Amino acid sequence: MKQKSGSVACFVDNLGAPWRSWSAGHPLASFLTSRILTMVAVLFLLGLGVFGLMSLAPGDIVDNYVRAQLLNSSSVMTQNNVLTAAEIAAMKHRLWLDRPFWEQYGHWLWRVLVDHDLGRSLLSQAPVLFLVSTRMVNSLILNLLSLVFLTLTSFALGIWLSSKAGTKWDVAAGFVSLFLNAFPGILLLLLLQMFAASTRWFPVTAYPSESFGGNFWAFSGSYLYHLTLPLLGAFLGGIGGSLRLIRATMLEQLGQPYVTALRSRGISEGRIRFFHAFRNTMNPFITGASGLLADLFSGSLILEIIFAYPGIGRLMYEAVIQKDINLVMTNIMFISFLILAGMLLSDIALALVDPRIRYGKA
Amino acid sequence: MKRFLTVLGHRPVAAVSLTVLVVMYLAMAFCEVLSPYDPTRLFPDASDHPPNLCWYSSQWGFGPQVQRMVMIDEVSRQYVRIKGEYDPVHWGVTADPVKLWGFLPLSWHVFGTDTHSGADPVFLFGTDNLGRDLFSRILYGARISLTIGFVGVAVSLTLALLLGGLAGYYGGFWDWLIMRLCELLILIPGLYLLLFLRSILSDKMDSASSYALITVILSFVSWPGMARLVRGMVHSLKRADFVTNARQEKMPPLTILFRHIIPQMSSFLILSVTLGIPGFILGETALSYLGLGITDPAFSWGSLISRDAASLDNLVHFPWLFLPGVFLIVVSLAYNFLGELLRDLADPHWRAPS
Repeated sequence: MKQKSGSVACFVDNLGAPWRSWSAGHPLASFLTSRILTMVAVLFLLGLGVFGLMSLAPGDIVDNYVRAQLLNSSSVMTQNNVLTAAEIAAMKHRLWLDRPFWEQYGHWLWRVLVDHDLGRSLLSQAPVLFLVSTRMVNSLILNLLSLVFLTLTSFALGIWLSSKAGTKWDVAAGFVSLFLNAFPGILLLLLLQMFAASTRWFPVTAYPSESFGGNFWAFSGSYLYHLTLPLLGAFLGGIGGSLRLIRATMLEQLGQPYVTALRSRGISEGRIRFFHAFRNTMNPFITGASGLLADLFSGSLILEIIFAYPGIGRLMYEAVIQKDINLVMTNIMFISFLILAGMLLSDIALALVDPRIRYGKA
Repeated sequence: MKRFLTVLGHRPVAAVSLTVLVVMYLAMAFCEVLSPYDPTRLFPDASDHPPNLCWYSSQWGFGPQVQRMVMIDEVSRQYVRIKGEYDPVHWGVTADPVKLWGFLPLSWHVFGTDTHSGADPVFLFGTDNLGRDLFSRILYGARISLTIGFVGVAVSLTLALLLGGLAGYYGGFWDWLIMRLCELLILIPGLYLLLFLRSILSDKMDSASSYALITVILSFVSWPGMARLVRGMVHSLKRADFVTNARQEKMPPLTILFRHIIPQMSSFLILSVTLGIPGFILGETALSYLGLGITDPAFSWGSLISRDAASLDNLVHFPWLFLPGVFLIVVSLAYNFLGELLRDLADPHWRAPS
């Protein structure tokens, strides 16, 4: 059994014999359990960190919070909007803002886990869950589309290029992928938008103006049309790196002794490439893909702002600017959860595609 | 070094990149005399003025000269060229008094026009909406954009060497703790972390402290990745014979770590500096673009873009306002091409063309 990340394993192994005997019998289940436990621990620490940092910051977040609360709830508004210090203190007390941050965090956890209430956005007073879930769907569509697009293209191109190693094509592709890898993402998106605005071939915003309720196909078509340039931007921004990675791994694999052995047995070059070398190329790519997902989320922050796409990145940006702590907290937690889940999935996918990794008896 | 220069001869792209970078850093160092005007000087009747340098006219023949233009529409700020009216650009003119490097008073500029006798000012890259010379602003903005990479990499590399080195050398509990911390920080998408930190740590601050804050935040986000690499290398080197020898001579562990092990990784360090710098420059650009970067009155290429090139109207009608972005692209590409050469040099399997 090969443990990919022995992070918690060493920790958990000390828990005692029952766990060890169980994990010997159920390697995959024990691996998943330890990974999920790590995930919960990481999310817990992350939330603690966010609350801690918020409390380190000068008091204006707390005051903003209180101010927004007071201005929005008419029941506590006194004449001329003048609030006494006692009222502010009472409000802070009601919102747990006068406690140390770990108590606030505990309160937040209690509210989320026990009462299943993520709170309301301070600015719009909309439930956070509603805001985040609608935006999250949009972001996921965008990011998964570009991830799939990116993976398919870079695998196809990478395998094809590895058969052309040393030729003009290879040199040209190497240069182009280095160029794309080095090209600043923000400026690429700005240039694409400049292109859209000056030629008017593509819309400058990424979300269709008509509503979803009407014709489904018309909406989808318009959606894809609006999404073309942002997807192109995300694609061009990511293809350089993944192409270089795949080409390098492919060439490394093709130089291995097992490939020579296969060739000496007269197995065709295409078969070697697809059924042997390619399978081993998946490993570094899938490991990288979870990082790629984090990159895509980072990149889509800028992308969503430049192309006015209603995704989670823009929501986060606005929440941070307005210091909407409920929204920031939920956002960070959701995104980290997604990325952690992506890493877990990529580990499972590794076990599926890489014959060297098996969570069972070796 | 000699090997580096030989290889450079066979890699024209890397050679050009190195030249471009050297020229840019020199221009940045001497920006006070190289820029024709003070970057904050307003030309009130030249808002959004297009670039006006040209190289030939029947009046002055071949040579740098300024085409006179006049605004025909105050609202859309359209300019037309005045036929046959040119002003020569002189080398070495006396204009706005400046202080070179903050203390050397000078009023000499490398080039400019004879504005005292009514010639049009030279706008190499046009002007922004307040009529400030974009070329001068790009030169001054380079002071922030080009240095933030060095400072940031220095800070994050120090952190990475210290923590990664200690984790790799001692192993055990500290290794576990530091590596878990790194993983936690890597996990959060970088830009979100940047955004979050920057927005809670600052509201009203002056330019200098915003510069320091951005550098620290960017380093904070980027050290874990480097620390993991350093840890891996230290971990693999610490069982080498030279380390065992040093240990048997009772050298203190920190001396072994910093004087014996880490110098072994010098090519990796040079590489990570070269490839890390554009990351910092672009991180600053992203923050500035989001309005959380360098605060006024200082400006960087990123804040020039966010101020002038963020609106589509500006980009379409006054395309020269995108030029700070072109500079960013060039610098980022140059560092990466140079880094590619260094990567090949650091690769033991790679053979230099002879």
